[in-house]
Amino acid sequence: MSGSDSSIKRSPGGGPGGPDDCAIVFETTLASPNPAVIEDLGPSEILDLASVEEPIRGVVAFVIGGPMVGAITQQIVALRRCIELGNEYEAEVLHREGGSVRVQVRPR
Amino acid sequence: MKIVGGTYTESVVEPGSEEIMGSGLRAAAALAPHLNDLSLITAIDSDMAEPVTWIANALGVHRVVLERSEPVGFRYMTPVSSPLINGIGATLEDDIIVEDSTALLFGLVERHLGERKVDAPTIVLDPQKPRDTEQLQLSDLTYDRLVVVANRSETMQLGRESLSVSEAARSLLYSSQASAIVTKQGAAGCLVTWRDGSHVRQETVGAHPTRRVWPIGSGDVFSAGFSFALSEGAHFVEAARVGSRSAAHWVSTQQPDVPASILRGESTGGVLNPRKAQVYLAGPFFTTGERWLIETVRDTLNSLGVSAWSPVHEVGHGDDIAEADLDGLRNSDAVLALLDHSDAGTIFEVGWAVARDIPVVGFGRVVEKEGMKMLGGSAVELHRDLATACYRAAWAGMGMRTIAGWLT
Repeated sequence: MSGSDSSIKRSPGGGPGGPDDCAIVFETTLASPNPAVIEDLGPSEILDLASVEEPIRGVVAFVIGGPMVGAITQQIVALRRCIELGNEYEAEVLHREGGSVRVQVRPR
Repeated sequence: MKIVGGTYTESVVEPGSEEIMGSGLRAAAALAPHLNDLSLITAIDSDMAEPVTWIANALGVHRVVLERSEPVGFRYMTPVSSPLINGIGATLEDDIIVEDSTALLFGLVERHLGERKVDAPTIVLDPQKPRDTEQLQLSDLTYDRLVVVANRSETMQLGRESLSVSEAARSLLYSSQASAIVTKQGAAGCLVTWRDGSHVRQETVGAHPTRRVWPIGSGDVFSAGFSFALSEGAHFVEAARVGSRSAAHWVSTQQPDVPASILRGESTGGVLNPRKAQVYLAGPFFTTGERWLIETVRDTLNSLGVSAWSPVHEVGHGDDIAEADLDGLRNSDAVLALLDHSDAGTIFEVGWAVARDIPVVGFGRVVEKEGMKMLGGSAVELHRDLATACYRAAWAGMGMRTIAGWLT
C-alpha cells in the first residue's frame, strides 16, 4: 500500500459497506486485454459483459457477438450475484492508452 | 520468483471504487504474464475465497493461499488520503517457507504467528510499515543480497534520528547490512543508495509525469518492476528506472499487468528530475469541508516531495493578510488552486499567478462552466480528479510544462 507517503490510521472492525442493489456503475481497466481485439475497438464502443466459467471463471467483456476483450476484476462479487439474478450489464470504452482499455460498467 | 504479500479489500469513497487487491496480489498481477514460475504466497479469510479465485484467475496469478483469522480492508476517503484499516487484529498462523532465486516480501497487516523462513539469493523487502515501525525482521531471511524498498517516511523512521532522507538511507543501509536501499519519494521519483566496494553511492531516479494519476498501489507496482529487473540482472539504478516506469504506467492506466516493453527496460521518455519546489495552495478555508480539503492537499503535497505554502497555515486568518499571502505566492514555483464554488480570493490569486507566468493547476468538481473558460482557455491546467491535480501541481513546481484546459 506504500507509494504515497501517508501514515496509517486504524479503525476497529467493520468493512466497506454499500447499497445492496444491482444499479452498479463504475470505471475500470480491463485485465488481460487481448491485443488483437483491442486494436479494432472504436471510441465509445459498447461491449457485452458476461459471467463465464471458461476460459477463466469470472466476469468478462466481449465485443457484441464477437471475441473476448478482457476481464473485469473490480466489484466482482456484486456483479456475479446480480448477473445470476438476471441483470444485464454493458461496458462502454472510455479510452485506450497503448494496450490498456478503460471502460465504464453499467446496467444495460 | 516468489512474492509474499497481502490480499485485501481496497475501497475509495471519492471517486467511488471497490476492489479486492492488496500489495501481494497487485505485484503478482503486474508480473504474472511475464514469469511462468511466479507464485504468490498470500493469506485470505473464508469470505474472500471465491472472489479471489475469480480475480486471480483473471489476472493469471498462481498462488499459495494461507488462512487468516478475519477480513482485512483498506478504506480511503480519496486516493491521496491516509487509509483506515479494518481488521488490524487479524492473525495468520500458517508457516511461510519460501525458497527461490528471487523473493519479493511485502509487510503484512496480519500478525504472523507462524514460522517464516525465506531463502533466496536476492531478497527485496518492502516493509509497508509507515507508523509503529519496528526494526526490520531479517533474522529468518537467508540471502546473498538484500534490497530494502521503502517510502520516505519509512526510510526516515528506520534510519533513526537522521536529518535528511539521504542520511537516513545511508543509516538504514548500514544498520540492515543491505546491499541497497531504494527510497520511493512520490512525485520526486526515488533515491537509490548502494554499496560500491567500500563506498556508498547514491543516485536519484526521476519520476515520469503522466496526465492522470491513480496513486493507490503505485509503490507495489514499483517494487514488482524493480524486483523483476533485478532478477534479470539489472543494476540497482537501472532496476529502479524499470520500477519507476512500471509505476508510471500503473498510475496512468490502472492496467494490472506491466507491459513487457517496460520490464525489458525500454525507455518511455519524459523523466522529470526532481528539485526543491514550493507550491502555493490557493483555496478557501472557511467551512469545515474547505478546511478538511486544505489539510488533505497540504499533507499530500508535502509527502510528494515539494513544500506546500498554505496561507491559512503560514499567515492565518485576519484582515491584513493580502500582502503576506502574495509574498508567499510570489516565491512559489507553482500553484494548486482549489476552485470549487469559485472563491473570489482564489480566482484572484490564479489570475495574479498567470500574469507572472507561475504555472497553475486547478482542481474543481463544482465550478461555474462559463467562469472556467478564462482559466482553461489561457494557461490553467484543470482537473476534476484530486490526486491527479496534486501530482501535476508538484510536477509543475519541479519544472513540468502544464497543459491548459481540462485534463481529467
